[in-house]
Amino acid sequence: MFSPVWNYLKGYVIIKASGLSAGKFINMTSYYGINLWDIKNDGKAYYIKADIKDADELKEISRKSGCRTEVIKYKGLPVLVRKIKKRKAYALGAFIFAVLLYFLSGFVWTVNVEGNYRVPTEEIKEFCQQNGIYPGALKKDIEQTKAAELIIANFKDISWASVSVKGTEALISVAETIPQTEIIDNSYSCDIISDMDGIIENITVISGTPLVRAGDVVKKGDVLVSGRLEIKDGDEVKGEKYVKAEAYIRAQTVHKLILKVNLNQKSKQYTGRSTKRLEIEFLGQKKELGFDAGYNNYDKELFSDLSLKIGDYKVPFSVKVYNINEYETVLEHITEDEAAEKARDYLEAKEEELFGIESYVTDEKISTDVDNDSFIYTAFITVSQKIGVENPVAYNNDTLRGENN
Amino acid sequence: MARSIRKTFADAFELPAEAVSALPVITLTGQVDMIIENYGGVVEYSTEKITLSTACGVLKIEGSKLDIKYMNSQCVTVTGVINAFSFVE
Repeated sequence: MFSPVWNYLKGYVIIKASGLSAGKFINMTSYYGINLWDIKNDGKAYYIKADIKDADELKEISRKSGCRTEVIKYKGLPVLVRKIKKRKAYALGAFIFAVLLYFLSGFVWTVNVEGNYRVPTEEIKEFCQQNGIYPGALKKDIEQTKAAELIIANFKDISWASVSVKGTEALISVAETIPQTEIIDNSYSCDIISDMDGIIENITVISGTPLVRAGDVVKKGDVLVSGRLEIKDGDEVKGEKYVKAEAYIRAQTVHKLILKVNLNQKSKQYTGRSTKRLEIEFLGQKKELGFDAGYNNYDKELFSDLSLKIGDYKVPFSVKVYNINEYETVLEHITEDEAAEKARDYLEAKEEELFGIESYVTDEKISTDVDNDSFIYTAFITVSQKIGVENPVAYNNDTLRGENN
Repeated sequence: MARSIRKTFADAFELPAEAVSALPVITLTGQVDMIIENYGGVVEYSTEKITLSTACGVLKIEGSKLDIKYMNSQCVTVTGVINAFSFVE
């Protein structure tokens, strides 16, 4: 009944009672049936809390008791309400806030997709956007059942979909079909030929006749696995059949790579001069504001981004501040060691691109040379890699021949 | 005289003494909270000592950080650290 929350809701007044008859004042208030709480005494005066509705009566009692009282503060909800009533703009702000909240909650602000593994989320989101489900769309315009049906119809890999709107989030739940097995076209016959020189490391044939074995030296264009199968009866060849040769062949190959590194490298040297530039974007239109400091070369660095987002929806107005740092291009002479390191780093980064994914370097021989301002880095790299490409043969059938010959 | 008549009356009918003779009812919770019902008035109030007048004399409460948490015409609630209380005739 006298909890701080209840007191706050009802409103209360803090009174300072001082003077010789302060004790009398307190006793009289309780005699008149006024509730007091949190009575504190700091040695000079009493601080009393009482109901806001008893404030007038307390004044009367203080007059009767001859005690000096003053109201320190009015507190509580009724006081707040009275204050708000005076501040029209404040009340209007609260009203506008409520209206705006109601208005904005009528839109979808985030679109989430769940349940997809093979179909990219972006693809589903893009399709939904074309069909009216996007951040900023009106919730009442979304036809959930129809949208779900459209998703199922459009994506082959989606067998079930549901679109639900919860709050301001559109949730697209999908279930994918069982992945289709890859269809390998075996209708033609072919050989496997080497696409580079090398020494065979190992060979695993799935179909066809192997013509090389581990340790063999092969040249580019050599047939590694033939698509021709001999049908034998003992030692006698009864016929032949042409199939699509399939095999997994690894070989050691040697690659010669020459890299030229300029010993005079261009590098940026910041002058220390910088300025700021403002970029305002409104409805896709960009406008740059800022002083043209007349820099020849400069770097643009994002300093602050004042773009607004509601959920996934980007407000079509943004302000970006960039730091413009001036620099001068200077020629820097690098040492041979540094040049070699640059070449090595470049090679390491490009290894996969040069030799394919299932490859690894087994040996490396390096020679270096300097020609004027160029550092020449020559590398003989031995790589263990997968080789062999299909080479279709003229016979496009699998008939048995020779039986009647 | 009046008090003894009331006491005799209360004893005869087995009535609660506080109902008949306005004796104070003191409820003490640990040493942190004390509720005194049927009190007359506050005589003295400081953070170390609170004195209340009651029907059976002056009630003296001693302790530290004493506060009157709540007060009306029927009861008064004292909080703080209560060390001792006694009646002085």
